[in-house]
Amino acid sequence: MKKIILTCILSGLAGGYLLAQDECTLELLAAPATPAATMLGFSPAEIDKPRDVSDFLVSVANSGALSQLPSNYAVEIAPAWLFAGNKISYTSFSGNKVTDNIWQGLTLSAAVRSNDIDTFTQMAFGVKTSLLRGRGYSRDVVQRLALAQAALRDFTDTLNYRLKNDERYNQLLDDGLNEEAEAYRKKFFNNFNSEKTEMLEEQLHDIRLTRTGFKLDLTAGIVQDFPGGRFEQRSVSRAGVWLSGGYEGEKGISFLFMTRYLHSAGYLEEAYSTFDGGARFIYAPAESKFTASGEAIYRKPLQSEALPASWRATLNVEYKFRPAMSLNFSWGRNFDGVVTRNGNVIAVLSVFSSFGNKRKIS
Amino acid sequence: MATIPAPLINQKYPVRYDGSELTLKVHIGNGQMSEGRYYVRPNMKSPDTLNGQIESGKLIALGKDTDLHGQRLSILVTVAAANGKDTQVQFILSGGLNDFNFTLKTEAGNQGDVVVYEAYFRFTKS
Repeated sequence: MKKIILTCILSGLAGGYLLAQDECTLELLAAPATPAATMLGFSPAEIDKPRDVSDFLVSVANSGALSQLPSNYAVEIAPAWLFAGNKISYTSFSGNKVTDNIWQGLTLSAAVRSNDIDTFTQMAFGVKTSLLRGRGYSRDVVQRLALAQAALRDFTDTLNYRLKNDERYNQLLDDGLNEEAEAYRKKFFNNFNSEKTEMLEEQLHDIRLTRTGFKLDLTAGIVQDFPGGRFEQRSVSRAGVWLSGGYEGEKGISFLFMTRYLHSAGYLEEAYSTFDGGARFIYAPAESKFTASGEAIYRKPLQSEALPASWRATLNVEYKFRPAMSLNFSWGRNFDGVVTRNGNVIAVLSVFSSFGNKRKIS
Repeated sequence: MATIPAPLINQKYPVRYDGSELTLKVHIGNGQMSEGRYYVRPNMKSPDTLNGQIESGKLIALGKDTDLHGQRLSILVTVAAANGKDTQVQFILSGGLNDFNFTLKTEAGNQGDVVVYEAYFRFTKS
């Protein structure tokens, strides 16, 4: 899997990511709502939905001139899954123990945003973890998992009995003839069929193990600027920490909130700190390729002499037109005093492409 | 649904033969649904001297090496790929001359496939 991912990354960075996807047949991925991408402002929304954790994820965002090479990239890793996945049992993953949530939900991200016109490059680093990840799965999913577990238990008992009493196979094992034993068991499994296999397939083949209930994520990020594209002129321009959470229902409706402390070092103006508070509504039916959301955030400067209070409100529509590609449209009003944009109108059409792997539990 | 055999582990496990306790621990990773069985017996015709179910991360006391010498430990773990396609199982056998600690990884073809892990250890004198 890691070799495939690396191949895809290299192909993607070379501009051939459409082709790479066809060849690598990677699975569905979410838009790049990584903390680092949020800090650089190319995440489609400021308030992230607690989402599936991917071992390794690379996101490429193209805004405006879609024929050009993308200039915004984000990379995210989940250390627990990437380096210690063998220790994550089904029981610990299905539960809601805070220590498991923190470790299994921990992600580290980095993002790059560059502007060829004035050779201004920004890098961001982010860390995110889950404190609460929902009370469990929906009733339908719980029922299907219970049926699948029962079918797997019966399947295992039948298989264990058959292997245990297969004289030829046991003789090969006792004689240490491993190559012959491998060949024998391959034939055995080609012919092995349990009545429980159909039950397992029926319950698991399209299951989406989405958790419902209250979720809470803690996130922090930092942005480093490289004016003129010069490494020696680097400076930290922004840093922030935020808490986001909300309730995710069984019908694909989510209500989220976010509180955020942000400190801007002031590249073009005085340094200032702000407190953001906002909410987001998401409608994402499980079987649909469309996701619609709306969010509103109020920003209050913490120093009286700084910028006046401001707000941001956006509507986002996402259409997943390929398993790992989505078209996002954002429209609305941005905060006043955002120096990287002209005015405060947001009207952005973006294509997001992602490479990585994904599990269907969130 | 396909049944996918993971690579087979079949080898001797030298013991000290001094009454040391042998233990087994199996980690079934990636948050995947699984079932596991183990049994110990001298040969196919003999009844089991020990058997049971495997729970991920739970230590299983197999007994003294003097009692287990000459017998074979058989382990069967089935992993249903419900949480992505990646599956991995770590086998840790301790108390012998050297610990055996090995992780096998196998990718399922499709969600809902079952990956079958088998490991066999013949307890021998070193």
